[in-house]
Amino acid sequence: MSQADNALTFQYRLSVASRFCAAILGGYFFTAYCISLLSLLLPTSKVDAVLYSVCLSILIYSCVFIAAFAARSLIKVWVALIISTGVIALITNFVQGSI
Amino acid sequence: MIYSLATLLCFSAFYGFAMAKTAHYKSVFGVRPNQTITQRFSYGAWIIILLSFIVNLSQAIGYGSLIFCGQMALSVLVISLLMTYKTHWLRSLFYLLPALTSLLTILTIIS
Amino acid sequence: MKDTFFRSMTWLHTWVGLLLCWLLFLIFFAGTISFFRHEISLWNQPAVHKIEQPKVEQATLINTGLDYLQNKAPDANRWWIGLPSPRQPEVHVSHRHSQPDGQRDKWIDEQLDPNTLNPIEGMVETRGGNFFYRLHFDLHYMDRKLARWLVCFASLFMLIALISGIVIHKRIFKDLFQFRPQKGVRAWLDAHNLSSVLALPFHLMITYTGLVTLIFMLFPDPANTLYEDGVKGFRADFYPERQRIEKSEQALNSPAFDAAFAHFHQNWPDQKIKRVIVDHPSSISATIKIYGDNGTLIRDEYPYWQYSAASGELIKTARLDPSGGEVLYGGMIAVHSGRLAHPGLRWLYFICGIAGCIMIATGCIMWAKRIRERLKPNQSPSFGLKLVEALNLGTIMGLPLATAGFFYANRLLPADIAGRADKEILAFFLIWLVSAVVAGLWRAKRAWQGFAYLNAIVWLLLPICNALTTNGNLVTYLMDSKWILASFDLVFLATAAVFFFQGNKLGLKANQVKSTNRQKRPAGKEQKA
Repeated sequence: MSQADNALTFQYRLSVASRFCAAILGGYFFTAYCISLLSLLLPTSKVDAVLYSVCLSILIYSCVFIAAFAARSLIKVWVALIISTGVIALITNFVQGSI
Repeated sequence: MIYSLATLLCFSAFYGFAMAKTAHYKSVFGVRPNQTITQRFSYGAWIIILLSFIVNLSQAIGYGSLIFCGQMALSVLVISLLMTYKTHWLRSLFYLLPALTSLLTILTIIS
Repeated sequence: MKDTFFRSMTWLHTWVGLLLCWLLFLIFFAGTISFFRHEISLWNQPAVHKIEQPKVEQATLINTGLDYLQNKAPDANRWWIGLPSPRQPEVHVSHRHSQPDGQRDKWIDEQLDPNTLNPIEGMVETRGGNFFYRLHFDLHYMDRKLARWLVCFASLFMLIALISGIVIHKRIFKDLFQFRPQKGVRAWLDAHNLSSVLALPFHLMITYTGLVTLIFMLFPDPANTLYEDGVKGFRADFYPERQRIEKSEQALNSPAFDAAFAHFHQNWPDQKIKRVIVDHPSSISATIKIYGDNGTLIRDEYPYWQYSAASGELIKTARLDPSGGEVLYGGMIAVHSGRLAHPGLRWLYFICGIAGCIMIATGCIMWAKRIRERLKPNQSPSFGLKLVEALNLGTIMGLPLATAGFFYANRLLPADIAGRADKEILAFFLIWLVSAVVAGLWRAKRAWQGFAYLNAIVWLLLPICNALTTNGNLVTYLMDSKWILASFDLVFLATAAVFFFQGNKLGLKANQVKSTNRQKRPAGKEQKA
């Protein structure tokens, strides 16, 4: 902590901002697609599927948030978030198309 | 009535948890506890807290568990404040709590 | 981010906690007070203080309400009858007329005495507890949508701060019961840990469920995926009772209210009623909507019956047997709002809420103290530190002061001035603004002490002000067993006492620091190194 305080370089600030971006925005979109897919897959009535999935959303979001800060490499965080969000979005589209 | 009994049980349980800690026991009773006393306090506390939980749930599952969370918060708060400002009161509680609990249990059963 | 999980969580806890802590304090503070929303509304209306709990049947009260509205506003587009509860003795009868296009229909609210069945005289215009309830998520003077997004964002940060806090506080149960008030920053840390741990289930629950209350704004995606017209379609499916009822032009001559209620009481004899709404009472399409009372069940939406007022037939019911998703979602919201709580549980909610406020406040203070301790003797504090200190003082000490100001304004403003309710709220924000400005200019330890004593005096005088401006005081409340009003006076006195002790303590510390500063400094530094 003290090292970081002494060297508040531009690069350090940028990486912190980027990490917050990844956690907040990346986490948001990941969660949004995740629960959309979940609501499609749940074998309950439409109302129940929506309610169950929105109730879980915060849990998923906070886990992604924590993970984004726990991971050591910032690039890995971004890559993992973008790829997984993309894959989930694709599956969602596929499932939606087949129904 | 039955909720006050559960509150008292919950409070007794946290009293037990506090007394199961060496430092706290020493500041209350003035001597270091031996292994057996610590263990007895700890086991007793777990049994009593379970009992308190059951008493709460017996009234209503949802409402009871909400009230149980509140009772735990209240108990920890009171014990910590007593521990900080009125340590010697805790010594008399060792006799007072079981007495009060039994009194309240009898009253609950009668009514 | 940092080299270990533990250290990155420490970093996260510090910064996520600090960034929005003042907004969070406001949300927690207003939310805690809102647990007593109806009680505050009661306190703010001295005319209702003398009203007794109803001794007549609910059916009589409903009939009275319907008759009253029939005389008062036969051509309204909606009637609304709210029945008394132990928290609110009066019967609410409201109606509204359709406004020209683009304007919101305006409610006209009246209150009836449930025993004499006459309108209550001498009501004043006030928002009461609803002000704090709205402040909790709408933040007043601000665009509603923006405010709710801000609140959502702050709550998310709160949840993250809580989770990372649990991770870093490894000895979570070992340090339980520990509070060492004499030891400087250590005391603040103990207070922070104690207030977090003792109500940890509450903090997690209230933050999570708080986010769930705004979830369809935050995550409309599942509804968008499953329904053609998104959240709107979902709402139509989920809230059948909110469906718009079209008005027919044909007039209704003899409404069949009696037949409808007779059917209801015959089939659901034990069901208590929360409120009754009549849509388009003068038209043939008139509809009676009955909302049942949930009592202490953990449910948010009320069971619902809809009758035709023309024929008295049951048209539809909803939520008599909620589905799994509804139980989960409704349960979360019910647990958050605490409407189900009897006085005992309500006080426990309140205590836990106060613990949350203390947790946030001590967290903010600790941050500022640590940074200040790290300063070298000749180094001047940075702008950031000054800002944090000013915001700490202005928020933590200013908000209670402003709240007291709101109560004073309620008692002291003339009863008949225009826009009285808004003026009460203006008093709240003006006092807060002044405290914030003062805090910005004067941030010394003496300022904390000054604010604490000021708070103590203001809260101490509040019961006296109440006794002078209304017909009751603490003694008469206790003698007439008006527990709600008596608790107000007692809470005011307790708040004054807490601030008084805090002021004393701060004074003691300021003196100690002054006398021992020079000798202790080097030793302190060595320890840290």
